[in-house]
Amino acid sequence: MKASSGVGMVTRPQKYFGSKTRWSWLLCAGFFVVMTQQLALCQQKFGRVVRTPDEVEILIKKAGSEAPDWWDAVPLKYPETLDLDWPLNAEGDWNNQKNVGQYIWDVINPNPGRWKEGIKLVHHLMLRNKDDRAKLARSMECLGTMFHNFTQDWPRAVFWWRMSMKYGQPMDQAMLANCFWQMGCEKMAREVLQRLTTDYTRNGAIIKLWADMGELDRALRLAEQKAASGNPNVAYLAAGNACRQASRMADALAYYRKAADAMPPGQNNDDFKRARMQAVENIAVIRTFELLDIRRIADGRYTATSTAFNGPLTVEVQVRAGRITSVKVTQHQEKQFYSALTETTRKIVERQSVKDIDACTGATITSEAIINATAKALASWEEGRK
Amino acid sequence: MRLNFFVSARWDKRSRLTRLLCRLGPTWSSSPVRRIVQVLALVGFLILFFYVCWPYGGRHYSETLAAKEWVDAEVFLAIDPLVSVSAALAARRWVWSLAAAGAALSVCLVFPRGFCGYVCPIGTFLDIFDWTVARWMPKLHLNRKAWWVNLRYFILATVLVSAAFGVLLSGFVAAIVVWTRAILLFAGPVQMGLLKGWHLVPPINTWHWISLALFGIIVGTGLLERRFWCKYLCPTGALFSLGALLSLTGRKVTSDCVSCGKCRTVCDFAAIRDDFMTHQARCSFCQSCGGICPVGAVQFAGRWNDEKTGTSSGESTVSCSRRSLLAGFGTAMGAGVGIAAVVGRPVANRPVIRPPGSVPEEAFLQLCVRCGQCIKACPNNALQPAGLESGFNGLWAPQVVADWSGCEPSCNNCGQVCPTGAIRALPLVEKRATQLALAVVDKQTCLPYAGRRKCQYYVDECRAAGYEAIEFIRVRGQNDEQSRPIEGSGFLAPVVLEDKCVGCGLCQMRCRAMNVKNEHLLDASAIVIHAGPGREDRLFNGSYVDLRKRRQSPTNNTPGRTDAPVENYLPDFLR
Repeated sequence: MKASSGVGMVTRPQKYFGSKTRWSWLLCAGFFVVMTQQLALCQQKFGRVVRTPDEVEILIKKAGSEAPDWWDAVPLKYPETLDLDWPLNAEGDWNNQKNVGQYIWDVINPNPGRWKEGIKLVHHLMLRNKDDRAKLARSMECLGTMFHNFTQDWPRAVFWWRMSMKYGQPMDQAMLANCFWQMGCEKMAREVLQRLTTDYTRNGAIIKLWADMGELDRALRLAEQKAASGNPNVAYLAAGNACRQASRMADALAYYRKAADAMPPGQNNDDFKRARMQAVENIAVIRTFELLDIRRIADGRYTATSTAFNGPLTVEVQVRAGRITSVKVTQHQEKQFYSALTETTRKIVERQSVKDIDACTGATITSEAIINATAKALASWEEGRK
Repeated sequence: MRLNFFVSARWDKRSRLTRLLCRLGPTWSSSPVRRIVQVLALVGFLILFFYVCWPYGGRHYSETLAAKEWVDAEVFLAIDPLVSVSAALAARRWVWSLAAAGAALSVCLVFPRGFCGYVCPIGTFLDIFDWTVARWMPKLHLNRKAWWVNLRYFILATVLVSAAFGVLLSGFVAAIVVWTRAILLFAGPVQMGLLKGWHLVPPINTWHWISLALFGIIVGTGLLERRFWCKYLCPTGALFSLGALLSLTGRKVTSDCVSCGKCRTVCDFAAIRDDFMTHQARCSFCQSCGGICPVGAVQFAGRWNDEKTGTSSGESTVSCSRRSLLAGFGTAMGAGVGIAAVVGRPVANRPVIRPPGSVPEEAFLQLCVRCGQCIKACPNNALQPAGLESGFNGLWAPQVVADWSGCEPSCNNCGQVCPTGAIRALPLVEKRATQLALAVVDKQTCLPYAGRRKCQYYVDECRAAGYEAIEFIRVRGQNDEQSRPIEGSGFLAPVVLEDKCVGCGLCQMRCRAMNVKNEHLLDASAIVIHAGPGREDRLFNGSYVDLRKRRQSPTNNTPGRTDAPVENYLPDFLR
């Protein structure tokens, strides 16, 4: 080992981005959860494509050797100050206008509008520095991860990861399994997953994948194992998500409760905090939206407040004989988007539900605040009863 | 040819309608047509102002206005000839409302000064004031030959001279402008408060009160004499009087006149001489005198038609000596030049943010008559009348107050209702490409930059508005023992993309509403829009969309790209 551990490293964080093995892994972590959630939604809506292993291989080969269809429409853009040599170990202080890894981390990652631009940049740098095998492998691995995280382009992700493996870069197995699953080949995904005996991921991605494939028991076993190995919050959150996806709301609530309550042994990152917050939010959402049964609510007026565009917004919901008879915005400070104040309330009464209400065009924030406040008001009945 | 609309005193007046008119007053019974036209014009003005210029009621602000605008909302301002003449003179540009003013003046050929007698809403308001308040007060008996009788010509001359030197004063004296702004400042907030909530009424400052005081003075002169303002002071009226000199028609008195003097009493415009003949320049053709005349000696007819008149109607317009005339105009010239010299100096203050589509600042101040119509048509009061931010010369001109509200992306109303083209009437797609300012983040106070807490109102807001001109950058990230940046550590902070920001100010408004007023985390919005060179697009003509495209062309903003080789996606060595 060079100076890759020890006190000196803490003051030189940029070293991390030079490390071949870790940095792509990092890139993926942030977007993995968001992405997989979105995909689950898509699949519920449109059904799944199913492919045989051969078809998947053909797909990877074909797509991998061609540029994606958006390629020519996206310009190659980067700051003039960027160090295009992209050394394996960045020198000097953190500088997101000079060091490519830091630029991607600080500027590309947080802005979906820049994701495709980021892919083009990495591709450009890969070819620019092709004579250095280590750099080439690092760039390919990064490219694959970006295709996976940014554009959900599964075949291209696998293509570039396999290419980087030829140059000696290891591949993340959980992400690989996910690609196979997303491409419609459960068999290949299982083959990869079965080799993984524990969920080593930071966000419980393997637990989620098993749950997605319908193996809830296996997912929960892995979760318990992960919880025991020192990541209870993340593990139970993943278990809760798995149950929720299988419509086992009571179990989901119990796991979320555990995820919110568990105290992790000495952690050095914020993963557990985020998992706890997420669990608390999910509990609230299940209570207010998914378990809400308007027919059971006693007659009366219920009020609740939610934050809207310009400040707090209060609604009063009137329930009679198990029906929402009126929703009124009683207090607000909105200056624009007035249409939402009448239109959203009308839609809620019309549909007798706070679920799947389209937000008013151009008034999304106000609409959502009204929906949330209404749901909260209706859920407050439950609390009042206790 | 006869143009008599009056109801003669000699006619049978026993019908119910005429008795009702008699009860309303002698002017109603003698010239009801005029009073009815006056009422209709005033109602029309109020509808245009309160209904058409009320931007709410639909989802889409520009469509809402367009659907209501059967008649141009600014039509009354457009037909005030002083508005367009002075603006065109000051800016030395063609102003579209000159055509409307020309049409209004050409009506003078048939109805000399008919605007003052029939249409002008401030005149009608003064009549109402006289009818309800002033007539109960003791009247002064003013000398009709005193120095002020021709003051309006001198005011007109002052306005035009200072306009010639590039300073527009019609905002202070042009009849419709003073009236429109008074209604804006007085009744606009009431309408807003009653219909939508008092929290939406912006605060009123000293300069609003001064504008109202100006209107108060005009109305107050009605206590001196009926329509004192119209008779002696109004420069718009003076312009119509000049038009009236060219008129083809006029008031005639036949030899039947019994010199009873009733016509002199009823006349609002001091247009009848001691010999009961007519001051052509003063007569507003209201015809009250025709109706009140007991012997039917007053006729309204072509001026060439002299056979019935015993005496000539008299052409002299300005009843004063040559010396006082010259002195008056000399003073007016001096005043005009003096005011222009004092007021017209450029002020080196912070540039004020003008409405989207405003022409370059110097011309903007020369064209903007400070009527406030744009402010009325602006949803959420993003536009408010300026105080002295850009000097006295910019008083009451519209400015964007983004602390109060940002410029609504679905709205282009301000340009649509501007009577002089100080704000261009842009289609919505053009307006959305117009940069009125640039948002600048204060990195000292901005919550994520300062490491205080998460905040993404600015990005949400900008995205919801469809500009996508603010993006994130990760700041204050932390690293773990192995020097890896900790996922989710640090904050996402705003970065304004200068080539996309239009300076609408929605981010500023949101930051203020949430972080300043609601959460009390900041003293002032941490993202603020600033105008000034390089931060705003001010064009006389041409497309803002094209301007933006030219600026965003790849050669302009991707300097690193030029050295990029043309490369295959999958080069041979990888196949």
